[in-house]
Amino acid sequence: MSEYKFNRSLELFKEAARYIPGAIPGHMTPAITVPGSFPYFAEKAEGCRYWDVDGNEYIDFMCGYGPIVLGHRHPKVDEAVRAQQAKGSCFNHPTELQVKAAKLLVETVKIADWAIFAKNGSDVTTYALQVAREFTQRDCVIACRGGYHGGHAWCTPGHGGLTPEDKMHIHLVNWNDFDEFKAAVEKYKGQIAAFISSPYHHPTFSDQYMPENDWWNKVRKLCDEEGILIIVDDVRAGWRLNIAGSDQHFGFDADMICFSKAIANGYPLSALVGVEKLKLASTRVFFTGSFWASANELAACIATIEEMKAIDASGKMWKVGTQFQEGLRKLGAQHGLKVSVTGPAPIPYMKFANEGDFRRMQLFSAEASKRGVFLHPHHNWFVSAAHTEADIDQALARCDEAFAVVKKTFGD
Amino acid sequence: MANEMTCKCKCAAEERQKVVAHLNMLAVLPRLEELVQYDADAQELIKGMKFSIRFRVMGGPSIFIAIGNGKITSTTDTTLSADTGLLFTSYEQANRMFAGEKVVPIPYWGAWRMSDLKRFTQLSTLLEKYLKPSDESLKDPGFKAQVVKMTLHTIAAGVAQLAEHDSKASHWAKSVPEGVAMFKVLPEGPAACISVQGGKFRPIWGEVKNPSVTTTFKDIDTALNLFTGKLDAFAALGDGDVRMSGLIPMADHLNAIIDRVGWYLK
Ligand SMILES: Cc1ncc(COP(=O)(O)O)c(C=O)c1O
Repeated sequence: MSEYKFNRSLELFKEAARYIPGAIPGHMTPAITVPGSFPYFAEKAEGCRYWDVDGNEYIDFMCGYGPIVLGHRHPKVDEAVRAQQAKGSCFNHPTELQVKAAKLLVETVKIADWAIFAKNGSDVTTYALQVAREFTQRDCVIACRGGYHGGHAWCTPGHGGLTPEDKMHIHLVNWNDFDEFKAAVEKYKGQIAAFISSPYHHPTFSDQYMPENDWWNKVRKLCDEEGILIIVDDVRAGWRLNIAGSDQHFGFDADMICFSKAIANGYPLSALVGVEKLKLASTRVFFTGSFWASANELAACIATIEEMKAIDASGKMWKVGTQFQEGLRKLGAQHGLKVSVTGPAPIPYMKFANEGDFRRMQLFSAEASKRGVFLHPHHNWFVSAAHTEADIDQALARCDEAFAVVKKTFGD
Repeated sequence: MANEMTCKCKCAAEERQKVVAHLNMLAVLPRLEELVQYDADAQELIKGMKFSIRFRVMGGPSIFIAIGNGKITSTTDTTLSADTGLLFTSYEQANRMFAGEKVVPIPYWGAWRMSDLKRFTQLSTLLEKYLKPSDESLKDPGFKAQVVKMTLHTIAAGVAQLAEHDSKASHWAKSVPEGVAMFKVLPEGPAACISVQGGKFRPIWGEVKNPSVTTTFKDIDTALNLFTGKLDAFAALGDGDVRMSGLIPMADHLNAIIDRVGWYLK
């Protein structure tokens, strides 16, 4: 197979730079991939594959950075959207779908006694903090270093446009470091409204870390003793590990869970669910947006939940994700390379264990990209329920070639 | 509340003076070294001169500058004794002098000869030509390359100053992973690095082997446009005019500080 070229992507990028700051702003910026070896603009997609504007085909291991959980253009989800679209989507009122979707979320997510919708993950992580502050009448929040909760001022990893006050009440601790967590709780005793964290630690430019040493149980117990709420930011992991919520996968109950990405298979929607005692406090926090009640996405959400349950989407992703992880480990060893495969199987990630600067990983992902396997060099990956065993086999065969290039270039 | 705000503004203004003074003395003034290596007028000015001077801000930074054998060297080593020592009573006073205003620092050591002061002022004016170049002067490719080199050095030295003295940058500095970030203009330099070790930021001139992250600029123009804030860095990264490989978060966090150096020196 001949290596891919990205001429049209580059051409469009140059044009984009004239009209759009940064040309491709945000997390899709090619600046954090390997520019020149990655596609910049997409054309179309189907199932677990997509095509860029140069006509190159990829096995998709980013799934739109998570939302595509059933596969691109899933027929049932798209049909539900088309049916709603025929009636309209943006009205002066919500539709019945909002009620249906909320009910379905409450029935599906174990801790949920209520659900409320927005569009982006950041909308609901910020709202969850406010609800926690309103309920507890406290200001401080504990979060994990390197955790990502969106682009709002209190949590953005960026530097521009911020004031020192923006993050004043956010106190950071290391993931899995219960002593540090406990010390923070002591230090701000009686002032902490909530602990917000992803269910496992999935920082960029890093291995992924599972909870260790009974982390969540210890955190849950201390939070209960101190009147601190636990907000699980399940925007990234949500529904891939367990459709009942990732807290259930790790054996504890959250107080609120933030969802977005996967809940409508690519249609823009986010949701916050919470336990009963927080319902009234949540009504006292101003929360709205022009498009937050749009019906199309809610139709997609309902269809997504139903289909995920019908086909045990999470089970499928665990299976193919495990196949991919094991395959990468095996190939790495065969090439005499030290790979570090981390993360839960549906959200895998790989880097090279013997480097801190990602140069091998940058080469590996560039070589994979040029062979039609889209793997981000620095950000965890995603599989979908549309990935089959055969797709994974094909991806691994191409990764084999990419490993060979790394071996040849670096030697170890 | 009003008092609080006034206090905040005052603190910010004071911090600004402090940061700018550190930049002027420890990132800009040392560029005299490269100025006399390249600029014929500067070489002429220091011909036959043998002289050393220390600038010191009361309660602040100090720099020792030696002129001799047609060269200029500078160091922050406080043990060297200079022919002349000049004391600024405040950061503001130092900054006013570096901005070309007539201020009279206190000679606290040695004799201060008018002719030396004059030559020093002339050197500073020449330096300004490189650090704030006119469009016309940039038409000369040799001059332009020198501008880029001196700007890159100012940036590398400036980042170290901001990481220590600017509250925003020192906060960001905590997120910069340890290692060495190399910046290189293709095809043949100039290059400079910023080393981060144990929370300390240090400039390194030229290239190093195995930097943690490498940022390369396609050519002199790309580097110049980026340094002068005329180029969208993200766009330049995407289209390959600027390339980054290795520990990208290091370059990413440093870039925020670099932008702030530019803002201070504008
Ligand atoms: C864990 C997590 N939280 C929050 C967000 C923010 O979501 P959004 O980008 O939709 O605002 C993201 C997005 O990647 C995420 O991964």
